[in-house]
Amino acid sequence: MAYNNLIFTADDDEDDRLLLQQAFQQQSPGCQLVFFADGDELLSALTNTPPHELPRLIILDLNMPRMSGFEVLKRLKAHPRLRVIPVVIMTTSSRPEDISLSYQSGSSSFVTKPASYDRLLELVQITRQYWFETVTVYSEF
Amino acid sequence: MRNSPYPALIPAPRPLIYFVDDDPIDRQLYYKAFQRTFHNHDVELFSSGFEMMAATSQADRLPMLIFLDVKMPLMDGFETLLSLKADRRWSAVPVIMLTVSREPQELKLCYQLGAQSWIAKPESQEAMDQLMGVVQTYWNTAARTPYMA
Repeated sequence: MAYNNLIFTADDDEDDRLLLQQAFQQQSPGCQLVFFADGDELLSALTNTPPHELPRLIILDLNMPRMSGFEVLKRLKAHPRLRVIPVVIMTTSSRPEDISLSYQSGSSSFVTKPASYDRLLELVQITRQYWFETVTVYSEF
Repeated sequence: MRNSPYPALIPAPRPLIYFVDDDPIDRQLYYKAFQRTFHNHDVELFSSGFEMMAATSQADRLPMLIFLDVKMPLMDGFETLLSLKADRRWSAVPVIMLTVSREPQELKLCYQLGAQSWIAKPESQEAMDQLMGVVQTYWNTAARTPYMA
């Protein structure tokens, strides 16, 4: 995995995907987002991606059809090659049970989807500063 | 206040941070950095993973974040991380590895063991304040943690 600016995102809500794409383009154009409509698609893409093209970060919704975010997270963290990629849960939920279970299942952080676009822009900026300019991720498999 | 029609106001506990590092100079430097950047947070310092793990059994509240050094005597960062993540309650507390190590294999192992982040210790106080400012902003305004539970 290179020190790239690639983010893989799984979210079944098309409006949320568009908003996130727009916010990253506006706030952090250097980051490249690849979207998946559910966890199955995400897992399939990740397992078929060559090591040097794996993303630096995964953003994962919790409530998705077919396979919940928790199940996707569990599978990612059980995978010998993929488990080192940080996963940020981004969801409408702010339930304490979901927050605890996300961390217990291996997520790197838990973020509640903002209610306004301005707040989303702030979130994108803070996310870029933290995950792309401050944290070191594993770069070789 | 016994006859007050309003219930007594109980202030919410201040967020708590654990900082684990065997270097006494770093403990003091980071304690001051936390005071400058993490306003209104309580900070508890530990000189080893062993000392921190002993404290977890007595703790009445979870910290919001744990900053953990990698290389420490008695119980290093890997063993400490392993112990934390094996405990159901404590496994929900985000752990940030804060270290001078630049070893890819150590970094990989920390992520495999469940560390939430790996951050390299900066070399100047200015860089330290800048870094802690970003960390504080992320964990206080973007991310949610179960520290109130």
